Amino acid sequence: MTEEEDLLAFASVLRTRMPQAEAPANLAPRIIAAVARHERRRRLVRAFAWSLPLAAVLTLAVGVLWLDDAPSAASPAGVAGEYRNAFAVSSKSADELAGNIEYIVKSQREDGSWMHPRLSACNVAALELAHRKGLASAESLRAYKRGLRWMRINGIRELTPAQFQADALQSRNWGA
Amino acid sequence: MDDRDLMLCAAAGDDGAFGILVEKYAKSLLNFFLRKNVSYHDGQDLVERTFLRLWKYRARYTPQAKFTTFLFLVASQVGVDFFRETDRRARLARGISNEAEIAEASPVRTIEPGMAGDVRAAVAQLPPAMRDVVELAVFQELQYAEVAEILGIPVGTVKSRMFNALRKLKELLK
Repeated sequence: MTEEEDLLAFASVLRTRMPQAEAPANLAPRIIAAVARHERRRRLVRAFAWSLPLAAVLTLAVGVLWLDDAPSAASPAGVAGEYRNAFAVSSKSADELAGNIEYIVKSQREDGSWMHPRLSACNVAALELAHRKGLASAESLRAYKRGLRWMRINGIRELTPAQFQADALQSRNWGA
Repeated sequence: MDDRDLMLCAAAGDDGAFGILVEKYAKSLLNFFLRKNVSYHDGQDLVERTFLRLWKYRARYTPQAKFTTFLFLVASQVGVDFFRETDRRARLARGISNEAEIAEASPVRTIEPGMAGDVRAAVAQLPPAMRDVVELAVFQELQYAEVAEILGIPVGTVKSRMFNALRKLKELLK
């Protein structure tokens, strides 16, 4: 037997002896469901692509009017309040943050998302920042993990610290 | 229908054909990621990400390529992205992970005493370049040309890395 034949035979033995983990029974169905969700979303976006610029303008107009009466970050209500909870984590003191972090965690949906992808990205970044400031709890870490997982499954890009800070500045300007 | 035909159907939008490929390769992909020392939970996430990315890029599949080449090319990219993100969040990941919970939840076939139990440890000791070749050529049973295409190296390099890796493993497992 040549050395090559000997090593190939050894490779066969390795293959049979390497432990193999079993995939959970629901893994393949979960993936197929994720693909189906992705396709539905893609078709929806394509169907309404013509209306997106109009919707963006209307949303901006409504948002500007709404934010004029936006409540403080401590009592969140609506989109503006929810963003403020996320961005307040980047700027406020520890005492002021506990309520914000608690609200972010409690407002997370079952699938790990928040109201929409952008808010989800902000909240995930906020929870990470809270951890870095030493303010994480078991619940906030779990919420962070769920949120990150949801974003990755749905292909939503995470915010870099620079992007998060830039959005935080913009958020402060909303209340100005 | 073989894998190539199934993938071509998927490229044309047939999610049923794609589902057959998912069922067939989910387990081997999961073990591909687990052997990169990710947790069982993360391994499942990476399998999902790989198939989702495969679906998104399905139009790029060409019939000249074997399906497994395409699959592991995408899987390798997903793995690289994951480790890049993990490095950035290393501190936070330590706070989140609960290895006891994950170990309990991961059903691995009983490891036989002796050589079997050391195989994983021995492979983990290989340099990354050799480990990648062993993973694809030995455990995923891909041909040298496929491995070369996935890793972006010449076929000759694949062969020499594989044989050097096998010599080293033989030594470690004596």
